[in-house]
Amino acid sequence: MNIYECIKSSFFNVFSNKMRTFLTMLGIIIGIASVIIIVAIGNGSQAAMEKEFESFGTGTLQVSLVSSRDIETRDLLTMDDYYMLKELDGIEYISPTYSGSNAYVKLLDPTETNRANVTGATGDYKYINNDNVLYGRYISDNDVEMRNNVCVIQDTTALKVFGYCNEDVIGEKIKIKSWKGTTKLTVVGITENTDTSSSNYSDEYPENIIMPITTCMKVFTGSTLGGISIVLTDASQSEVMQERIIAALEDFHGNEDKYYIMDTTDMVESINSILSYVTLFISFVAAISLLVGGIGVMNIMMVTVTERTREIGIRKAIGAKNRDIRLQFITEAIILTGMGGISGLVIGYIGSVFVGNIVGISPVMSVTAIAGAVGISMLIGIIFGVAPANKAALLDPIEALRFE
Amino acid sequence: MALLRLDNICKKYNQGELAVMAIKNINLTIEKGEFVSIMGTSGSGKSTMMNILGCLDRPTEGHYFIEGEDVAQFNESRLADIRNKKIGFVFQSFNLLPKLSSVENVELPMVYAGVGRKQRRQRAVEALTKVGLEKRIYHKPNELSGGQRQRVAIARALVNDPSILMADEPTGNLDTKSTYEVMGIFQQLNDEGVTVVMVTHEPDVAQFTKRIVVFKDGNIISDKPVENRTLREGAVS
Repeated sequence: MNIYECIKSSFFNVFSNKMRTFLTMLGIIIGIASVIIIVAIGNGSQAAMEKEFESFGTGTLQVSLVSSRDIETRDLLTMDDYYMLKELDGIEYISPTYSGSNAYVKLLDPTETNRANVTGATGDYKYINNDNVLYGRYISDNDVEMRNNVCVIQDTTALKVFGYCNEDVIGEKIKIKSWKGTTKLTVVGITENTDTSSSNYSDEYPENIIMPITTCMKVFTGSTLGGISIVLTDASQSEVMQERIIAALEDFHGNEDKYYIMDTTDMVESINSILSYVTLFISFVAAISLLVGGIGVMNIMMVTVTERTREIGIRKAIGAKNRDIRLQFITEAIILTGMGGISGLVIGYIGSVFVGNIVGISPVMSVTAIAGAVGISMLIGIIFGVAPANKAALLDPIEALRFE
Repeated sequence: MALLRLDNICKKYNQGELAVMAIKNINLTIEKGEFVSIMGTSGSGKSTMMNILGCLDRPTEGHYFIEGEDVAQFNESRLADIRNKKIGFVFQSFNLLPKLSSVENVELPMVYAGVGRKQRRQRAVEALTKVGLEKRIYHKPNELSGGQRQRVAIARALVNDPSILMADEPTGNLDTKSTYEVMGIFQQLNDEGVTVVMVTHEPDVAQFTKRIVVFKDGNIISDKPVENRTLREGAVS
């Protein structure tokens, strides 16, 4: 009996009892669908996370003050720290940062404002933040020195504030509202907004504005830095450099254990590893449901073999070999689980789009997950089909023919 | 060379501690073109004999030659091959697959023989035509009468052109009219050169055959040609 005949006859048998086939497949469908949803959402959140950090710039060191109660005035980070660290060897880019709080930007419709994330920085921030300048220029060290009332906005912000986004925006003014009042800033450059994901953070702060740190501190009346962002010349020297930077700061301020450095690469890695543990754990639970589905298939196949004992006897009497019978029942099991797997895949895909919409993550389908789901479901067919198929194959033809 | 030759065939069944000899030292030769009925009461060993002749079972002792080849200790796979190519089975309860049409049932032995699809269909239709069912090829077994079902089974038994046709109480589930029809087909096939071995316990059915072998308690107690043979309608004696 060739494989084509075997598959044809197996399909015939599987479809001749549709209700049972559907119920048997259900276990596999649910199992595969949940695996697909979990993997797609897991991958999706990982991708979203990476994107979020990409705009931050991976391989960046963030120097900040530890958050504890016994911070004295002399411990605070100031522009002097920036100038001091700037002279250290092994630093490629360095920018102090200061975040303006509670700022709003006025939109095209003068009655409307949008919440803005205002960052004060220096020219190097362009490289730290991986900003791509579309029109005009980035803020310069001169702007920082002169405390120029200038800013760099994103293309999406330009559209909302001016209604267009091109060279003409350069030189126009935007209005920033804060608790201090309204400040007018001249737009000197437009950068590309690469954040396409809709995370909570970007929903809350739709506009990102960058201005010279000195101007920012003036507008928001701050004198201490939020932190200092650093990109190293050699990322592999991160640990050594972290120690050197801390030592330099402690030396400069004459204190101890007041500063810490966060390496964004480490952070992305640790978040990713937590995410993959979570995914792994949920996948494990889903795998158990697949196992249960597989046992359901085995159970039904066992019943089928008993029901079809006489048919098996007839087939053997007219020349079917044990291996023909075995192949037929394994094929039937594979068809059952394979179809279950494919249905589960489709439902899982729809489900992950649905779940993704609810939790605000765009699911990421991988070819590996799709091939894996179908492969695993077929494998389940083989594993759980072997026992029933063997039972069928080893039936004694005489006994089988006598079966009522 | 005899078509079938049984040489001191024994079949022992182990029932708990007790070993039961179903058939004992059977010697039997069947030539090509014969039409033999095997008779006996239940428990006489005729079914065991049939199973061994049909290669569904292996003898405990002795040799069984089919066209000179000793198949007594063949393994499962080779026995399946013999059943497929050299033996055609007809059963009392027809044993057709209920979900398949007549023609698909008849094609089944050829599926296991590896015959191509087109040729299979053609030969199956030919075989069904031979038993007079050319108008019923797409009917399912439950749409056919008992006699028609048995004719489908005969077509299935013949389709791989076997050396011998084995029939186990082929008329046991049929009314008189269908019994005559089916026996007529067997006679006609035998006239065309097909060797037929048939188990029956009905003497009038055995009268259609040419030779009667009687079993009792696992032994052959009589083996003689049929006198006053019943002939089918329209047969030339």
